[in-house]
Amino acid sequence: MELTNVDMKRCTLFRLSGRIDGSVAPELGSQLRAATDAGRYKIVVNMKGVTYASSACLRELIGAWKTCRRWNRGDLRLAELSPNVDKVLDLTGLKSQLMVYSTEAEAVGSF
Amino acid sequence: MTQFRRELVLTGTKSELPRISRFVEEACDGANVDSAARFDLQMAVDEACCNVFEHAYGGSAGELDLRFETRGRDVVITLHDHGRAFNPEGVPPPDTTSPLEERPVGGLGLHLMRKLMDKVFFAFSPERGNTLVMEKHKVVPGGPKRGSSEGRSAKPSK
Repeated sequence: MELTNVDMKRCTLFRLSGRIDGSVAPELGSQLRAATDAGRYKIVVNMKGVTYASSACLRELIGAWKTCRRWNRGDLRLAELSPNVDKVLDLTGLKSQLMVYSTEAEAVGSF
Repeated sequence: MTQFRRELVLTGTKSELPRISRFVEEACDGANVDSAARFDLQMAVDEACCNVFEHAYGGSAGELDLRFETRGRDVVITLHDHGRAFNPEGVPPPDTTSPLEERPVGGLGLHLMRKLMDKVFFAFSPERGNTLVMEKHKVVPGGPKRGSSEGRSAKPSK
């Protein structure tokens, strides 16, 4: 897994790539928690380069999503899903729950 | 009838998941599995092995025996571990229709295994430990590639 994040004017943008299985998902969770602990509750996660996302990755995203949305203070939105990630979100019923954008610009602009 | 068989035996933790994924990828190549089914097999095995390391062994290093074989046009995955007994009935299926705020975070791995595979079967015995058998049907279009061998084991690497 490779992860970069940048604080933008209206949100924090995470760009993920590579394989996110149970061995590396906790690192994703700790990076997302670092953002929310710093009061950044508007988050975009660009998953364009993610070749594989296991349920452990989804658990971290859902956990951060819940933290962001508490008291209507923000949201976690996804952008540029690869076909494999799209399939996993579909199978778990998350696609209809999370806001998903086809481009990073759209997701960032939604805040 | 078993036509193609590979086995991986290792002792480790979740850090072995990438190696397990490579094993499945190579086995799919060797068995000439349909490209559309490879992701499903990879993910089901990854989720199953992650569950073993996380729950059966509770994060400690443990032994895992993974077998990949074809029977006719089907792929059969068999996974053995000697960790804590796993009872799938104790894992309620996730409610994938209710609002996400109301859902507990968990149970997705088992849910995905059942969605991605055609058959998922768990058994436990004090002697053999946990056994998981997963089947994916009609994903091997023809015979295995030349050069494949039956019963060959992958050597655990350091």
